[in-house]
Amino acid sequence: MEETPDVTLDLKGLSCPMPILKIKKQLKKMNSGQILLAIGTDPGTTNDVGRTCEKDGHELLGIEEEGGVAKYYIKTG
Amino acid sequence: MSVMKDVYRQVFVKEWPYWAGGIGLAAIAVLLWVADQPWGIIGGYRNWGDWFFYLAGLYDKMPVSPLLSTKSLMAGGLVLGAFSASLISGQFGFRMPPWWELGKGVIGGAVMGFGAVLAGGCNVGGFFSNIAALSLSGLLMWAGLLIGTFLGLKYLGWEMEAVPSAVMGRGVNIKPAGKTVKAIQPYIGWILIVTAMFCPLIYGNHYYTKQGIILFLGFMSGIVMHRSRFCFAAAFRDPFMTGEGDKVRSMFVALFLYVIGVSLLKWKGISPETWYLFSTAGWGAVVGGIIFGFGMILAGGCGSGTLFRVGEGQIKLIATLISMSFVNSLTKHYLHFKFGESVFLPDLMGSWTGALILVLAVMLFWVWFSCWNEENEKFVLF
Repeated sequence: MEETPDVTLDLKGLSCPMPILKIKKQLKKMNSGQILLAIGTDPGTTNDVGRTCEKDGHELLGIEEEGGVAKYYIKTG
Repeated sequence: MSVMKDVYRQVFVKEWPYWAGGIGLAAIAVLLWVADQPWGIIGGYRNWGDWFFYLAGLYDKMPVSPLLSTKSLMAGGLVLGAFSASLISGQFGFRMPPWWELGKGVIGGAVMGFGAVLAGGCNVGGFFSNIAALSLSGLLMWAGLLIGTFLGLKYLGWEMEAVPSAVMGRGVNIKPAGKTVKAIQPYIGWILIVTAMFCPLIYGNHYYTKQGIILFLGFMSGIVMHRSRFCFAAAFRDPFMTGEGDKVRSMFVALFLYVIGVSLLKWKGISPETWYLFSTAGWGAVVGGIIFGFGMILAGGCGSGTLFRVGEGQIKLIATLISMSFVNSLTKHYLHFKFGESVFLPDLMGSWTGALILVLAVMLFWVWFSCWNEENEKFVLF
C-alpha cells in the first residue's frame, strides 16, 4: 500500500468481535478522508471488515496478509 | 487443469458465504437426526468435563469413553474437521490473546457452561435442534439469547471506555510456521479428511458403526463451520453491533430447512413425534438463554463457534472450552434445577400447521426486525 496511515490500530491477538468493534469505534473518531491502518490476526476480521466499512460509508482500500498477520487500510468517508 | 485449481481455491482456501454454511449445517443436522440423534454440542463438553473430575477422584461413576460417547464424537469431530479445514486453507496458527482477553474467555466459558444447564442445551441443542423438534423451550431460549447478546454487547461497550488499555492488541500473537511446516500442513489436513471418511468402517469393525457415522458427520460439520465461519453468536449479535442483518436471514434459511426436514422425518415415521423436547419451557430456557448469550459475547464463541476456533488454534477459545466443560459438568453433577416443563408446540397450538406457522412467524419477525434495523439502526449500540 502506498498510503500513509493517519492512525494505526494494533489488534493483534484480539479475536471476534473485538477487532470489528475497535475499528468501528476508531473510524467514528476520525475525520473524513483520513486513513486508518488496522493490524490483526483474527481470520474472521478479514471476512467481516469490508461489509462493516461499506455500511458505515467508509472505504476498505485493501488487505495485505503475510504470515498470519493482516493489515487493513481503511479510508474514512 | 487451471479450472480445477480455481475450484479448489474457491472451496478450500477462500471463505464460503455464510448462507452456504447455514444450508450445509441444516443438511448435516437432518442427517444426524436420521443416523441417530439430533445435533447437540454441550453434551460433548460435559463428557470431557466428567472425565476430568472422574480421573481427579471427584466423581464415582466412570463416564462413557470419549471415543464412544456420541455427544463427545459430535463435538470432537467438529474440532477435528475445523482443524483440517484450517490446515488446508493455510489459516492454522496458535494465536495468543492478551491476558485480559484470556480472562474473558475463561469467564465467558464458565457462564455459558452454567447457562446451558438451565436451558437444557447450548445454542445448538437448546436453540437450533430444539426449534426443529418444535419444542417451546427452543423459542424461549431464542428470546433469552437475544437479550443476553444485547447485554453482553453493552458490557463490551462499557469495557472499551472504562479499561481501554486492557483491550489493546499486544503484539504477542501468532507463531509463524516455518516454510516446510507450512508446505506440509495441507497434506496433513487431507490425510485427516480421508481418515474421517473411513471412520464408519473402522468403528464398524468393532460393532460401533453408529459412532463412526456420527464422528464422520461431526467432522463434516467442522469443515462447513470453519469454511463459512457460521457463527451463531454473530447472527444474534450483528443487528446490535454493526446493524447488518444478512446473518439473521441466513439463520432463517437454515432453521427453515431444518424444521421442514425434521417434520418430514416425523411424518414418515422415521423419527418419534415428540422427541428431544426439553423440560425447560419456562424460566429455565429464558434465563439460561440470557446467561448463555451473555457468555458467548464475552468469549467470542458459542458452543459450536468455540470448537471451530479451537480447531484453528485460538488460545482464548481453548481456555473457553476448558472452563465451559468444567462448569457444565460440575453444575449438572451437583445442582438439580427444574425451571420448566416440556411443551410440544403442536399440542400447544392444537395442530401441526399451527405449530409450524408459529415457528415461522417468530423467525420471520426476527428477519423483519433485522431488515428494519438495517435501515433505521435504532438498536445499533456502537
